[in-house]
Amino acid sequence: MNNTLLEVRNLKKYFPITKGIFSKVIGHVKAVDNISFDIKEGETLGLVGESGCGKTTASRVILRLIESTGGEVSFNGDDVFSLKGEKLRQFRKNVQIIFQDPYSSLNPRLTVGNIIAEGIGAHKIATGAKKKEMVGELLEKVGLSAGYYNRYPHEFSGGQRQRIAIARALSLNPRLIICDEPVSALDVSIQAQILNLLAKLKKELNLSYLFITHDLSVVEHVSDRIATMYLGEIVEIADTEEFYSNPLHPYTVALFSANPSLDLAAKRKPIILKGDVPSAIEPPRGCRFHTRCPVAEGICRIEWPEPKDVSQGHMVRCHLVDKSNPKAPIGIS
Amino acid sequence: MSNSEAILKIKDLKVYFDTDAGVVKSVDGVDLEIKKGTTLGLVGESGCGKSVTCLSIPRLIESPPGRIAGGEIIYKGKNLLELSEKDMQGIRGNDISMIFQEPMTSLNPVFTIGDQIQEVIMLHQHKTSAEARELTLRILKKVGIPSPEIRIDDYPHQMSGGMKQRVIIAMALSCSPDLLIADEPTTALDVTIQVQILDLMRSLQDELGMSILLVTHDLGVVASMASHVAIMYASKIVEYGPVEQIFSNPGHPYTLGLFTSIPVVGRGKRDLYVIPGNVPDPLAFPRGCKFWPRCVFAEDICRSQEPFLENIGEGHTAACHFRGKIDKHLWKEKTNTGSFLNISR
Ligand SMILES: Nc1ncnc2c1ncn2[C@@H]1O[C@H](COP(=O)(O)OP(=O)(O)OP(=O)(O)O)[C@@H](O)[C@H]1O
Ligand code: SF4
Ligand SMILES: [Mg+2]
Repeated sequence: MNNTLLEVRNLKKYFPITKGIFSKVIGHVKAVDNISFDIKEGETLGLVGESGCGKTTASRVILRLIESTGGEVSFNGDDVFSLKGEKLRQFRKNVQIIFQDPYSSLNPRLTVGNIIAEGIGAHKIATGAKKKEMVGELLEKVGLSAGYYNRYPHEFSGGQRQRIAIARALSLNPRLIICDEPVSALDVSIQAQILNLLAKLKKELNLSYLFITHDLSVVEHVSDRIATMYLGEIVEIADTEEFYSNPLHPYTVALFSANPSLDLAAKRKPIILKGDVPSAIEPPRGCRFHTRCPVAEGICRIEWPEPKDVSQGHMVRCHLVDKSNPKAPIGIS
Repeated sequence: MSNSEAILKIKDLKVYFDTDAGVVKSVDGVDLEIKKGTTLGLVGESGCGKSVTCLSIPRLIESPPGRIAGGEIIYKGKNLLELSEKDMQGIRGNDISMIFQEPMTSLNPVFTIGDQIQEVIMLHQHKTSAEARELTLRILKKVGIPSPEIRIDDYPHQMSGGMKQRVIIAMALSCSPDLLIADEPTTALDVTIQVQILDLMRSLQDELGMSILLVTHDLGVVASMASHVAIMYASKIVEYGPVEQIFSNPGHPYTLGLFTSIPVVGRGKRDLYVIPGNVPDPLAFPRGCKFWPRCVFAEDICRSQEPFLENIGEGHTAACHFRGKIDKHLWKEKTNTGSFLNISR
């Protein structure tokens, strides 16, 4: 059994909305509201959900790029929010991030070599020729030539830039990489290269990933476990196989049904959710999904659904899922 | 199906851009056909020439630097490339509508959405402003905007991405076009909003009988929307046919590569196929078949002679010297990824 690397408990991030010259707080955007999950060593947790549901905010809070409003995160047993000094430096080394946009995430004025070497220098891992050698090895590890050291990001294609970003993330020998939509901006043939590369690195280096995406085909391909997020909350979490064979939350089921399938024989009628995702400023009372849920009942509008563990590792937040006989309240027709 | 009438036929279309670096051949001998009342999915990777193809149909290529260097665009029997600018304007307003790739930039932020749709209506149809407003309300309702009487006076920034895309569709439909050209209409949207928009397009097509040219890079969207598919690579169509044919029996190595390089639910975690190399630079296309540097089947003839679209089945064409011989079985032997192709039962 692998050890738990990252433990997130009841994490919250509220952004205040202010008004007037005294910046009076008139409300909050509840971007992340009480989410909990674990990531084990060598494991990939996929996080799916639509834009604005809080996926990126959650990762930024975990990385301590922004302050949390509540809850705990522990990494390797240490309380992340109280880390200081050397321990904090180690944490920043151990947890890296790769962003969606390989165009804006690399400094255009630095050479590829300097981009990758930045962290190695800052963390005093190596200097001079040794540093250069390390960068060369990293470039080769991600399938680029060591000879690219003195070239600039604009000389590279989207897929190559994403490889540079991956090499930079690897430079500090991290244990966990947060991948925030790392292939969404790439063409399919390039996407395949990057997905294969991430899989290879995971195996070689026993890395863990928090893999954020909106693409249900990609997330199945990469993840060991998957969590669905809606309006700041995790509404379902399960092992990948269980997630795909027995999705329970109506929102997860609707996402599946909306995922354009290649199977022409499955000419199914998609579940079409009404309207848009409501604002996270005044999220709906009761179950946050009830305004769009095709099967919502009276209780859904009033009472907030508690998380239910329906089987080993399968959590769902829905009033209509029966714990003793878990069946999805809505099927894909 | 094969003898139903074509509303649009593109033959050997060439669209070139004169740039400082040289002539960019963005579209270089494209052949396409859209049958009346159906949807053609145009698929290909970034930069292969999909948008330029779309823009050239209503003759919206900016010139200079762009120019149509050859070919024919036959719409309802008339070659659009031979029409006067005045006649073309009539076609643009009444026959052919276009939804552009950048949805957020196609609405003007300083006017209400109602004003923008009314303006389009009044530009192309003889209507008073009261009539135009009435029609606008009807169209907004049709595309599923809730409480259109209130929303009609909204500015674009007051609407979500999905709402804006509905408004753009409303605008494109305001003249009841016979042909709708939709360039990546849902790429910027979330999946649950994407199905709403696709469903809307489908039901409007059923109701109004329009034909659709749908550009997308998502083969799943093609599967759910199109009756025919054209696969574009490096400024040309390399495979064309009914969607069932292309999905169950792809015949061009590039199409086979595309299908095996995407993750498909239920296929498991084995490595995806990677098409080797990169998309060629349009300033320096390889001689012969443009795909040869990346093709596992390439032989000498591929490096010297360019293949053209030819029949490999009922209404199914491929541009490959080994067309008809290459199929998923041979692909499986060659790349060890053939089982990936069992996508259509
Ligand atoms: N105004 C222009 N001047 C010069 N080159 C151009 C111009 N417009 C397009 N091109 C070139 O034409 C080629 C085809 O472009 P096009 O926009 O049609 O691609 P696309 O298939 O629509 O790609 P995407 O999937 O990224 O939208 C590209 O190489 C592009 O750089
Ligand atoms: S013509 Fe040759 S290089 Fe081109 S796709 Fe066919 S086999 Fe490959
Ligand atoms: Mg385009």
